[in-house]
This record gives sequence, structure tokens and C-alpha cells, in this order.
Amino acid sequence: MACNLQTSFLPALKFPAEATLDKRRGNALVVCSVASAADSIMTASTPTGSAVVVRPRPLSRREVETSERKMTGTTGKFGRFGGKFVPETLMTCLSKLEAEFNLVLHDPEFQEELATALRDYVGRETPLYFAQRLTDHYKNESGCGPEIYLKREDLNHGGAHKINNAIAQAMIAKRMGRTSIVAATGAGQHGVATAAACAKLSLKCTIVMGTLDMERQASNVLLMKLLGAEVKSVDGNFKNATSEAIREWVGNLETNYFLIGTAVGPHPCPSMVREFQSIIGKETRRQAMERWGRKPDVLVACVGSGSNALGLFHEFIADEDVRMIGVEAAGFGLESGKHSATLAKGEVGVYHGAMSYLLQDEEGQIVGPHSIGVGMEYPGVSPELSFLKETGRVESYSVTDQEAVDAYQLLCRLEGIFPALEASHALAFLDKLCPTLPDGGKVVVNCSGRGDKDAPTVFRLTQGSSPGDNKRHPVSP
Amino acid sequence: MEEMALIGVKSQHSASQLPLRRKRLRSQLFPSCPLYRLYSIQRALIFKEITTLPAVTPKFQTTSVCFLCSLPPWVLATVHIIMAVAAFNSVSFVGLNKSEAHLLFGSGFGFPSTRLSVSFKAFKPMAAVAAVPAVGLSETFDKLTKQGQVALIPYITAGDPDLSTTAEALKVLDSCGSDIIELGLPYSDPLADGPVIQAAATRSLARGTNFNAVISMLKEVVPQLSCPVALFSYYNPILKRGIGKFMTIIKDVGVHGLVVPDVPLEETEILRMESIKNNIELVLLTTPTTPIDRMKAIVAASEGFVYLVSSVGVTGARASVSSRVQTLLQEIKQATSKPVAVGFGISKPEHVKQVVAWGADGVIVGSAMVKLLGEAKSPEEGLKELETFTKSLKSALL
Repeated sequence: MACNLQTSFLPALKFPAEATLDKRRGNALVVCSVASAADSIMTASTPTGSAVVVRPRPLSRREVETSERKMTGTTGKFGRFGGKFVPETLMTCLSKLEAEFNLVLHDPEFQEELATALRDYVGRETPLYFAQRLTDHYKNESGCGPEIYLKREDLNHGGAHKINNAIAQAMIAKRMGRTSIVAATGAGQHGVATAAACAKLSLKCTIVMGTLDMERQASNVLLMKLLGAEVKSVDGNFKNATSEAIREWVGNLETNYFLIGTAVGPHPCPSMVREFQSIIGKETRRQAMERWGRKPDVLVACVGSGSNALGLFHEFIADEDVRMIGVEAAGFGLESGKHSATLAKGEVGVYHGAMSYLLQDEEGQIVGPHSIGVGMEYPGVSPELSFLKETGRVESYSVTDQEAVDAYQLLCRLEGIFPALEASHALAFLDKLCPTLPDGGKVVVNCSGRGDKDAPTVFRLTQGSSPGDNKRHPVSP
Repeated sequence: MEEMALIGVKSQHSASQLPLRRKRLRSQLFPSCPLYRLYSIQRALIFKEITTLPAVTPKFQTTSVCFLCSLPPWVLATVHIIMAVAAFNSVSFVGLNKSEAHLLFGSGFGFPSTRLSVSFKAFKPMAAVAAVPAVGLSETFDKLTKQGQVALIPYITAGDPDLSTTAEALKVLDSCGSDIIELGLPYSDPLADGPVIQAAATRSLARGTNFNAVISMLKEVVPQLSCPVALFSYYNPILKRGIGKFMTIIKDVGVHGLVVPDVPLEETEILRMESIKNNIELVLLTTPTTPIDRMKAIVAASEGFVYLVSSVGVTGARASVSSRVQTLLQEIKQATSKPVAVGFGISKPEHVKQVVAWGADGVIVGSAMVKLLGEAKSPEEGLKELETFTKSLKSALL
């Protein structure tokens, strides 16, 4: 079998010199240390935050570790979270994927090609925009309040941060000789990004989407079709689409590549997505250093499954003085039962290949979540984020549908920027956050996508009333 | 009824008032059961409906009743209750439904107020009928190998179309010659299953099937089966209940084996610890994509038998069995002497014959069975078709 040959061949490869690889090293090292320090993190009581402080190791030791892991097969654990809980049929394919991923991390050609694509095709680097009017809005009576900056991921090609990961993984698929990509999408942003990347790299593309989502985000469906993708519909929403996409993948392992759009799934998927999204955090650090000569104080991002949040946070995990806040969707309210607040209300379980927090009922059956932000509707969450929440490194809060809609309108009126409803959740949390922050504190909010796709929804719900009116409530689906 | 008249019991209803059906049922069940007569005499004595033993009572009953009368009343009452429950439980095995049971045990016997009812959701501590207990998976295979036979292992999803049909289906499969039966617990997101089993799980969950209901059903049915039952469940419902607790519960109902398709070898440690404690055989799967070293580790760790997945993909009937299975079977047989059963995609007697010719020790048939049961016009028809199909597969094995 080709797969047998490949796995035996890999340890013999020499890794290139480390000179050009410093930038990417940081994240991969954290993967190593967190994954291998699993036992100590699990058993010892950990003071918040310090459990994940990592000292960079010399490259040679990491080389050894990586090749060792290739032979034994890593578990991809973050504490007790993560892992590979998939049918045995997929296991070899995941090992191959992990091996390829480790290769591209060290391959300067690949990195250069990726950097070019990110710059010329995706449109990076995205600005760190100072929202003056929003900052003034949140100032208290004495004129004190934090400064609010928006990381403009909505300015990427495709309109969301999803393209960062899609283009990189499509390149990996091409490297591995796969000819066909299968992806599942919720809001459609990942579908559009994947379809675009496949068109650019001439790969066949199949996007699986739930019928409920297709109704709500119809414009994205049209775009996907125009970009040349085949859109396969499945009853239900994103979670059903993901299950079906995994089944398609299992059925056709030689030619299919499952392009996961978010930081969930069996190892190495969460790590891959986080790695490619971490460009957000890296740019933010550089931009912050240039503008203020220091790091930001607070990072805020919405959490659906965790890709944009991890993308922003990952760079700063080791920096204990940087506060990280994940904002989930509370839907109609946490007590209503109709929400997507996995970190707040979920329990630990195994879903779509990984152990993480999960919205499930008393039988262990998976609960269908709700949120007005379609991309937030996922009953699971990234295992890495589950770990960071458990250790206390990331704080987690939630925001209702109504608050998200109000935040959408507020940003439109105050800054002339229309955020996606998913990103609006992060913006809505500023209401509660800003009064607690000192004057001049630097807050960076990840504006993870743009809101054209949500304009009809928001308009229908508000009928032109101004934010803060609270006259209308979100219509139940 | 004649017996009642003979022992002179004053009943609340005279014999003629009893509905014909009830009389018929009683005569069916207890025409000449000495235990019943003993019970009714004893009961009559307790409730003081008779003061002297009737003259026609057979001698041994007289002796035993005299003995019983010498016991304190609380002992008699306890024995009375236990026997009533035992007799009552025997009702369910005769296939009586709720209303018929009420007729028998309702006001006719003069029970003050309790309305006992047969329900698959109730937890019954005693099984009145004990069949020959089934042996474990490995022993089943040992027996078959000695006889030179290949095991037939059907799979059905619990609760599709409903739990009572599943109960009947289990009995049908057993009587048609199945050697081991795999019973699937329905799950909302079955990653390893194709459309047929997915649909079965959805239908089952929509009917409200849950773990407790399946366990209650198994409690009644497993003692009547001569072949062992292995459960097929995804990992999350097991985790939710607690692995140890799950194992103990399934052991208590008499399940012998467990298959968890979405737990890879690396993660099976905890499962195996708990399954060993409870004497449950944890079956592991190997597939065409599994490299040889990993396959060796899997077969070494697997208990009961080794589940060889015949094709790359999810469950579901296929036109033919991949010829790779032959090579895979040879490789596995070189690595272990444990029995190997082949599953996924097998749906016809021809497939069965082919797989047997290649050297399989067992054949697992899932989607084809589930489709018959789930898509039949009525449960009875589904069961009939299941019977015919199972017999045709069994004859392909002989």
C-alpha cells in the first residue's frame, strides 16, 4: 500500500535548516509541549495561565520528537481534550495528514508560496483599525475608557478569516496529490473560501451544507456554485453537514481531501486550522508593537467552534499579561435551552473525532444548537479552546441574539463597518467589558467576517429602528 | 372457576361474572399447576376467606399448607407477595399485553389497589423463565470451529421500528440459527454508518428510544436467547453514562460483548479496563487501510473476535465484496489465531459464501437486515422477511 510506503519513508527525510523558520517555530513548539505535557497538566493542579507557559526548545530536540511521534502516532491531546476518536478506517489517513502538515511547517518553499498567496490573493495583512467613535461611545462620564481596535478579518478575500486556512490546506491537498476536496460549511464562509481556493488551484470541490443553513445564507450558496463547487445538501445544519462530509471522506480516502474549516475534528485537524489562522495573532502582535510599543491588554473574539478565536489568541498564550475573552452565542438566553454556548453549558464528551466540551442531553445524544449567527451554531468546540478554558487561560462569556443584532447596528452607525453576526457577538460583549477596564487599555476585537450575508436578517428584525431601542426580539427559526 | 369453587374461596366476583377471556387465560396458564393451587389456598387462608382446608385438597398440599400455617403471618405475606410477582412475571413471557395482564391480576384476585402493569419501561428484578444461559463470544467461536462451522452474526438497530419489534427480531434471529447477535444503540451522529443505519437510528430516536428502555427490553429477552448478544455503541453515550457504570449495567442484563467503532486502539485502555472487570469482551476493528504493524497490535488486543471491515467507507450493502478481503484475512490469520469476522457491505448469500471460502470465521450482516425491518410495510411483515433472509444466509453457511 502506498500509505505503508510513505510512513516508512518519512523518518529518513532531513529537515531543512532553521534560519528561515523562526517565525513559524513558535506555534509548532507550543503544539509539541502542550501535547506531550498532557500527563502533568491532567494530574497536577494548575495555577491559571501558567500551565501553558512554554519555553522554546532547540530545534534538534523537536526534530527528534517529531520523527518519534511519526512512528508512534501522536494523540494530539490538549490536556484531556483532543485526540482522534474516529473509525479505524480513517486512522492511517490522519497519520499521513499529520506527517504532511509537519513537513510543510518546515518547508521554506511552501511557506513562501503561502505567504505570497496570503498577500496577493487573500489581501493580507489586514489592518488593525482604531474605532474612534466606538471608543468614545464606551467612554464613561469622566471620559475614561479603553481604546478599541478592530482586527479587520472582514477585509480578507471572501469576507472572512476562513480563507487563511482554506488556501493553506488546499495547497497541502495538492501537494499530497489529492484531486478532490470535500468540505462542510455552516454560514457558508468556509464554503466560499474553499471553493475559491479550489478554483485557484484547479481542484474539484464539493461543499456539504445543511438545508437550514442554505436557506439562511443563500447568497453564499450562489457564490459557491459560481466558483465551480458542487453544493450537496443535507437535512439539518452544520453539525449534520460535518458528519456527512466525514462519511464522504471515509468513503473515498485516496482521492478525497477533507478540508476542515474550523478547529475541531480529529488530530491533526484542530492543530492545522489553528496553525494557519494564527497569522491573525502574529500580525496583531507586530502591529501592536509598531503602534503602541507593547502588546494589547485584552483580546476579544467570538467562539463558534473556535477558529478565529484561536487564530487571534494563540500567539499570545504565553503572555500572561494579555487577557483573552471568548464570546459565545447565548441565542434566546442560556436558560432557554436554545443557544450555542458550548463552553458555558456543555459537558465533556467525544464528538466529530475529538474530546471537548459538547452540548449533549442526558443520554449522550448531541443537541442541536441555535444562534442567529449561523456560524456560531455548533454543538461542539475546539479541543484546544476547551483546554484553555478549563485551565483558566481564556475567559468565556456569552451574548444573546438580540445583543448581537444591536451590536451589528451600532458598528454600522458608528464606524460605517458591517460586521458578520458572528463577529457582532464579540462586539456586543464590549458593553459589559468596557466599564471594567482602565483608561487607555488596549482592546483588540477580532472582526472575523463581514456582514453582507446578514443584512437581510438584521434589517428584517429591526426594520430600521436604532440600536438600544430593544423594541423587537429575534424571530424564532 | 372449578378450582376456586373446590377450595371454597369466596371471591369478589362469582365465576359467572368473570369475563370469558379472563377465564380462558387463567385456564391456559394455571390449569393444573400445583404451585398455583398452593398459592391460592395459602392466600385464602391469609385473607381468611376460608377457615378450614377443603376436603378435596391433595395430601401433599395439605401437609405443606399446614406447615405454612405454622409460620408467622408476616412470612406468609412475604412469600405470598414473592409468588405473586413470580407468577405475574411469567405472564409477560407468554406474550400477554398490558390489558390482558390487568384482567388476570386486577380485581379478579382481589388485590386491594395496586395496578401492576406490564411495560418495557419497568424494571423487573426477577426473570421467571430461565433459558440455558448463552456463552461468551470466544466460547461460541470455539464451539463453531470444532464443528467446522462459520458464525452468522446479524446486526440490528434497537428501537427500529420499535422496541417490541426489536425484542421479537432478536428471538427470530436466534431461532433461525444466528450464532451471535449485534445490537446497535441508536445515536444522533453515527459517523461510521451509511444511510440505511443512519435512518434506522433517526427513526428509533424519534420514537423516544433511550438506553434505559433498551436495557429493560434486553433484561426480558436475553434470558430467552441461546446465542450471546454484543452491543454496538458510539463512544459519547458510553462516556456520558460513565464507562464503569455502562459496563456494569450491560453485564447485568447478560450482554457478552461490546463494539465501539469510534475509539481507536490508543484510547481503548480505559474501556478495556472496565470491560475486563465486568467480563465483557471488547471487540476491536481492523480495516483495509490499517498498516500491518497496527493491525497486529489491534488483533492482539481484541477480545471475543476480530472485526474485519471489508471496505473503505461506511456501512451499507455493496454489489460485491472487495477481493482485498482475501489478502487481509490471510494477513490477520498469520498474526493471530483469534477468530475473524468480516462485516460491512455483506448482503447476499453469495457474499457470505465468498467470504467463507476466503477463510472467515464469522460473517456480519447489518444494513441488509436493518433495511428489511425498517422499510417493511408492517412490523409483522418485517419479521417474516427477516426470518426468510436469515435462513437463506444460514443455509449459505452450511
